[in-house]
Amino acid sequence: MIDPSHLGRAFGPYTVTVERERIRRFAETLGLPERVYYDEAAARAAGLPDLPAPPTLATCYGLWANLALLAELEALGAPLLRLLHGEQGYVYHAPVFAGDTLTGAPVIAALARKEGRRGPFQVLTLETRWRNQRGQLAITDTLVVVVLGA
Amino acid sequence: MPLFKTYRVGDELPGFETGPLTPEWFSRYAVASGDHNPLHTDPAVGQAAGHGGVIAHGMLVMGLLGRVAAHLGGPGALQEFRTRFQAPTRPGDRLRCGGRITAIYEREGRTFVEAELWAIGQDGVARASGAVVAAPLP
Repeated sequence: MIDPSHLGRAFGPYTVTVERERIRRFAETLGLPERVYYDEAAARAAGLPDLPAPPTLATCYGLWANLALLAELEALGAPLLRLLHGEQGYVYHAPVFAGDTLTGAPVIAALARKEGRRGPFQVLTLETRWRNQRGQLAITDTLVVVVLGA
Repeated sequence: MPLFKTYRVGDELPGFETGPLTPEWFSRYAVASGDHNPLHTDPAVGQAAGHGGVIAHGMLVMGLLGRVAAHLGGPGALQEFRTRFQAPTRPGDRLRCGGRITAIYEREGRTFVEAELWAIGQDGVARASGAVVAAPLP
């Protein structure tokens, strides 16, 4: 269980570069049919500067793919194997394309202790406001994770 | 791409059904997303967690819902996209992914469309439900 005193705590910031190959592979794995995710010429023909980020691409930079952040949570008492993804939300403020750099500092936005049929658990909300290389807010990522056996 | 403004509240979005999901797909998703949680790739870990084996990444299911949401407009049209994961998705499950328009309104000269989304297993049990807000690019 994460001590409630950690409410409001921020991690990072973390900076990532959105890569074309990442977009292509991610889109392919999900079976996204739009050519713009794979082909720069198709993206340009659609009036886009480069391959656009698929709607859930930010998950590649979020909690589950961020070993440093996972280690921070483990140190606070929430190890990976006790975490279950409960909800995910994205608000898109500015489009993201290959070549962009995103910087975000995940914050513990909410912590709630609950009683379930199999014992107590905790609901942790992490909010990350990703800004691009121009300082514009690009994506607000809200991730709700259940911490089992809290 | 469908004509955005022809939608009406209550219309269903074009959906699709997956074939039986496979552990290989979960492994490919792990590599593509960088999410290497062994719960999704190591049967022993899934077993120990009480799932009887590996389960799908929730974000794989949300990614599939994104394919339904894409019918509201091309890349860049989405304003918000939320998903709640309701039950584990296991190898062999087939997901019926779909959605329905819940609201259409004008704001600041742009048309916004909202839809609910769902991913339902072959057993009728919902694996995930979501909501999306879209506006065509100005």
